[in-house]
Amino acid sequence: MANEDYVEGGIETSESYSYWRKVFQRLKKHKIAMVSLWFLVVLILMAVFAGPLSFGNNPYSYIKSVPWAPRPELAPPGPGHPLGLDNMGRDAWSRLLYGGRVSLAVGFICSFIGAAVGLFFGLISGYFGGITDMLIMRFTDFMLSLPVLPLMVVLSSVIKGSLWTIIFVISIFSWMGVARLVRGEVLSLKEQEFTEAARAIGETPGRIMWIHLLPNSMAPVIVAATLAISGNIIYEATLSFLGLGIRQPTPSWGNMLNGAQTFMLTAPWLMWWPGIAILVTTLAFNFLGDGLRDALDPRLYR
Amino acid sequence: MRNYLIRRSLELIPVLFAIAFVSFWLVSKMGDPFAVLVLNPHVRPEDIQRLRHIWHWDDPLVVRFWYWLKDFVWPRQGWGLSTLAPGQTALQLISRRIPVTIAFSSTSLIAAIILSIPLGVYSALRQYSVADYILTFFAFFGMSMPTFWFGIMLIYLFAVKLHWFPAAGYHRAFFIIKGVPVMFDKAPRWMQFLDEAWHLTLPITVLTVFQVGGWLRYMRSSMLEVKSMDYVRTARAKGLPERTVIYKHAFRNAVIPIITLIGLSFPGLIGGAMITETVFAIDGIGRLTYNAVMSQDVFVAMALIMIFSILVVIGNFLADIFYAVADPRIRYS
Amino acid sequence: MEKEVLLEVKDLRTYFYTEDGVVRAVDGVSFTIHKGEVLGLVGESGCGKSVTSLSIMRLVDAPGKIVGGQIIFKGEDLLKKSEEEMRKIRGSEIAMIFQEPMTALNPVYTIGDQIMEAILTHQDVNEEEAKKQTIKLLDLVGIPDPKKRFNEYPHEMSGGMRQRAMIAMAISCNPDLLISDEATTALDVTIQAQILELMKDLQRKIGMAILFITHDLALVAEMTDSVAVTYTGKIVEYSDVRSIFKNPHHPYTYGLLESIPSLLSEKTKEPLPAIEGMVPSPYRMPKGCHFNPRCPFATDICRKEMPELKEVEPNHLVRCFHPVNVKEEVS
Repeated sequence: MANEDYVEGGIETSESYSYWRKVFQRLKKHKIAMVSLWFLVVLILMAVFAGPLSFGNNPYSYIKSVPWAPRPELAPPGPGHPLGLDNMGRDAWSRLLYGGRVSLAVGFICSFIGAAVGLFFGLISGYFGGITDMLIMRFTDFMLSLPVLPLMVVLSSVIKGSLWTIIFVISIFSWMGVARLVRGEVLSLKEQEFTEAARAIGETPGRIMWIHLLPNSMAPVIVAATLAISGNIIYEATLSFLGLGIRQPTPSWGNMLNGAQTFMLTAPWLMWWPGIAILVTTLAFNFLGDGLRDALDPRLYR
Repeated sequence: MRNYLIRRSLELIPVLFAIAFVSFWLVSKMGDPFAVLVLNPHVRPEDIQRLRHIWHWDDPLVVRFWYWLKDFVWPRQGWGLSTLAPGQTALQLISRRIPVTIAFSSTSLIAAIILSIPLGVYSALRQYSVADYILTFFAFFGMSMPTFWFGIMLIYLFAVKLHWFPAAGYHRAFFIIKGVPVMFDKAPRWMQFLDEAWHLTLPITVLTVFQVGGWLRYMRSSMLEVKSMDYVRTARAKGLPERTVIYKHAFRNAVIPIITLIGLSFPGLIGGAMITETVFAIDGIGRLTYNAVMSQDVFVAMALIMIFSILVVIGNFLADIFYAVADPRIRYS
Repeated sequence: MEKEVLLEVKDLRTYFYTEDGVVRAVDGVSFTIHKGEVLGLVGESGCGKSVTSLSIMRLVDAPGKIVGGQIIFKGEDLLKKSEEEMRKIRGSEIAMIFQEPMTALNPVYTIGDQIMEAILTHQDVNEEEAKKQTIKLLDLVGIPDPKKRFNEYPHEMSGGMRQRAMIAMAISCNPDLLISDEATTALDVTIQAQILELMKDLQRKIGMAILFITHDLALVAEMTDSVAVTYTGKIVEYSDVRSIFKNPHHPYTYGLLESIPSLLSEKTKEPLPAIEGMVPSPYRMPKGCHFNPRCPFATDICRKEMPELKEVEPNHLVRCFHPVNVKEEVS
């Protein structure tokens, strides 16, 4: 839409461009969100460059001996091994770095899948309405009333395996929120003129959904997806902690804590870092998501 | 109101039925409970076949589902493998384990409600104050904290280092009263209660912190939203004192969406309880689920998933009732 | 003046300090309401009418702030009153009805409860008496079966009924001034007429003054004694109602009058002339007279300077360099 303001000098930029620029400006004012964003960038870089940052160690090799401890297993931190060695004599620092890779990947991918599936169901449900809507929403409510964690535990014991099975198990339960959100958004967009106009000139439902409804319902989805990343990281960590998620020898922040309680007395430092890593990462995603919500919804930003 | 409740309870039936089928189907994929017997040289293959037949393991899925549902309602005795004692049904086992789970998770649910709602309102009324920032930070901390790790940390600090609270279990085996050991069950009621409270303090803390953060934030934003509503302005224009405006007009409306949120968070509560029980070695149904899954005890796991689903559905139903009480628009439609 | 002055607003300024800059929603508004008089405050949306009324009630929310002026009510400046003193005035001496009867009533309390609340706050009566009064009020504003309606929730009533209930609430303590902020805008035309009739009727019965805020000049003709036309937070024309309708001097008022459909006018077959363009963005006001980009008579001076509010006829004030319809002056 063209802007009809009578402005002396200066040309109004296109509405969508200025919208996103404004969102970014507002986000920049949100200090905690910006700190979180930079922190996450550093964290992702650390996970990407886990190899070079490992001081020549790798997360899978068993160290034969260290000079400062009688046995390599559960050896305290020392030169070359800033976080010590785990209960099998592997370098905890490099496992933390590589574990970050796994945990972040699971968080991002599950959140992406959840958002995509949620968008799909939400768009269809909101656009077509009627019985389609009823069926999808009933199914969504049904999924929302399942005891998630017990089912995840059962599921991951049924399909044991790789990183991808964990991603599958978590993704199954992470789309419902987005679906409801998008449906609500579409229902209100449907009433607006541009949708009516698009229908009037004979555009196909698929095109209307893709061109008009999808971009316009993106804002809340981005917020929900960002917040979902932290939830998914916690799910992965929890399952791995229970021994049902990422399996040894692949490191993840969760499975590094798997035996934490048993060596709590002898090597407490081993349980600090993976937990702190999970906490600050989820904290950062939550703060970022919150900042994004404020930036995208100026109504609340007063 | 009555019609609304009747309609809501009728709607629950297909939901429960669907949950039952899905959980049955899922758990039945967990493994063949009779596979262990094959390894046992003292069990003849015919006996295994007979057992499979008795437990309908050789029937098609739908038929098995029917028998399972029947067994769930009219339970049969267990068959003496793994978690189940001989002659014990899955439901008997569960009913022995369920009270502690309900006790400590409902305590933390109530604690979380009592904490989050007033603090959320306070945070909203003092938006951008120091107190608001502190509360916000704690709320985010609670939302971001992985339950199991928080539990481990509390055990490390308060049990291992400070010895203020026990590290595991939910009651001691016996008391020493006047130099004489007395079994827990034989001790006076108040001693039992105090001992259980002492044991459950840390688990309840973990589960409460897990819930408080999100609700506090939600209550805050709900209150902020309602504060700018027209009817709040009307109330002010009437000349009502600010206290009445906030606590009668704004609060009552702001709390309605929280009820829905609390209703939706029962699955999360059950998950949290399961983790907490596992970390603190509390013999409730959460830990039982974990053990059942780990030892591939299909029958117990099935029953447990069903119990959890029923708990969730009951929780949602209770939330619906509260919702209808709070919001006349629902009550009368 | 033969009548006693009830409310005098002098050079009122209410600004909103938003993240994008300062919005001067009300920028130097002055007007007077006498006892029992009805003043119309007219203008398109976004011209600071509602903010004016909220300023009088001292109910402007952050980021808005009253930054200057005086609001003299019964000889006392409301802006100097404490919040507690102000609270006692709200609802009892100055009452207000809002645009949206759907959202202005609290959905979780009954109509009766919400009206009774006002009575209990300002009058020294017990609950039973307040209930009796409430039912009487419901009856007075034309709500059928008031005893039953007392216990109904807002969502069970129609828009018109809700607005009647709002009026009952507003007049419950016999206010001296009633502020009606677009009270009929959200209603159907027939309901609108009924509500207007009710307000006029009550005004005559109770003798209260009304500040009647609307964007619809046609309603003003029916309701009010005098009219103030606002544009971008300033009054552009101010006079008694006859004079404005007969002789609109400001091009904006003229444009507003032109856009009223008239059954009697032979112009009905032509499309209604509308004022071109839109109210300027509050963040970027045009230089000079704020109306100049839309004004057919604008000249260089209009683009440079803001005109003053001047008396062009006795008791008829206009803020324009080139007022139209002024007989003795040829522009």
